[in-house]
Amino acid sequence: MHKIRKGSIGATMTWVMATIIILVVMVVFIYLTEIIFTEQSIGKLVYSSDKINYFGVDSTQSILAFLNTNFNGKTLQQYIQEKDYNYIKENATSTFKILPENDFKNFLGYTLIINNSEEIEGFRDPNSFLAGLSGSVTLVKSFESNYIYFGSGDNIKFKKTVET
Amino acid sequence: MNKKGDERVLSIYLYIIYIIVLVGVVSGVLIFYGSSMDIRKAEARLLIDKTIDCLSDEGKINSEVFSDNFNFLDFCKINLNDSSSEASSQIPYYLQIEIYNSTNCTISGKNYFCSDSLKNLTYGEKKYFEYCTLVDNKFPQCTVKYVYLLKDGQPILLKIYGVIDKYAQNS
Repeated sequence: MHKIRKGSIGATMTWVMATIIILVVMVVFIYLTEIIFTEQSIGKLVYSSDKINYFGVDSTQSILAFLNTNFNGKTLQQYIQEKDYNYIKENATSTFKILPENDFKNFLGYTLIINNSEEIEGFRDPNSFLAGLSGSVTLVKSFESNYIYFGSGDNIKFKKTVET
Repeated sequence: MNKKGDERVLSIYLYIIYIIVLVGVVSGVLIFYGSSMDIRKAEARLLIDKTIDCLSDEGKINSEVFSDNFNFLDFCKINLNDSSSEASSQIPYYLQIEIYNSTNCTISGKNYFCSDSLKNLTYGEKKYFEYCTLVDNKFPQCTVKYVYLLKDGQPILLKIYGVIDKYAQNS
């Protein structure tokens, strides 16, 4: 019979442990690859880039149409320039509620908030969309705070309402 | 001492580790790149965006849309024929543009219910539209977008469906 030496037991145990550790690492690697692939789909990637990098063509056209919608002889843009916020609140909010928001899940509509004290610059964030419209009306869409801001000196906000 | 024998026994573990690492890396690469990617939803969204971009300008719908001899495909320079080698003779796309008077629309969640239709345009294989209510990757993929626009100063709502079949190319 061969005599079992202490040194060879230690070396064998080291290799066995190394094999087990590498096996575990590889299983985790394959599992993570599976998860990453499941989450990755072109549709979702485009969806996320829609939200972060640019204002979709559908949203842009809808907002521009809304600003040019005629309310009692004047466009919404003109009311903003004249700072007639009470008129907007009373007449335009119902129209704004039906504006589509295709990139937003469980979207219910918008709520108009008028706040004259805050400057529009303060709401800008790196992911916001900014469009300069004619007649010095500024439009900012913030993806982080879910607000759309219209500004003409003073600031009015439309808050997206989302089903939670 | 039998040092050589020890090394031969231990080298078996070394080869086992090589095999484990090889199998792991190959499996990971195969899982990631071997499976298909379904881009039909994204393609449908792009088709709808192209349609919106073509039909509207600064929030106003192009008045040509309402003329009797309006041909959307020529007007927007869109070709719905699939030129890929796997394509069958039928068109793998369907596009439906519904135009409503928005004053008669109500919203419920993400869905709009409109009653006063102004125009309805359809292009491609109409049978794909039936799959818009079904959620399964084996079926054609459907996307819908809504756009609020103005027609002669009056608010209208566009409801645009884009459906892509192309199952063979995305499976």
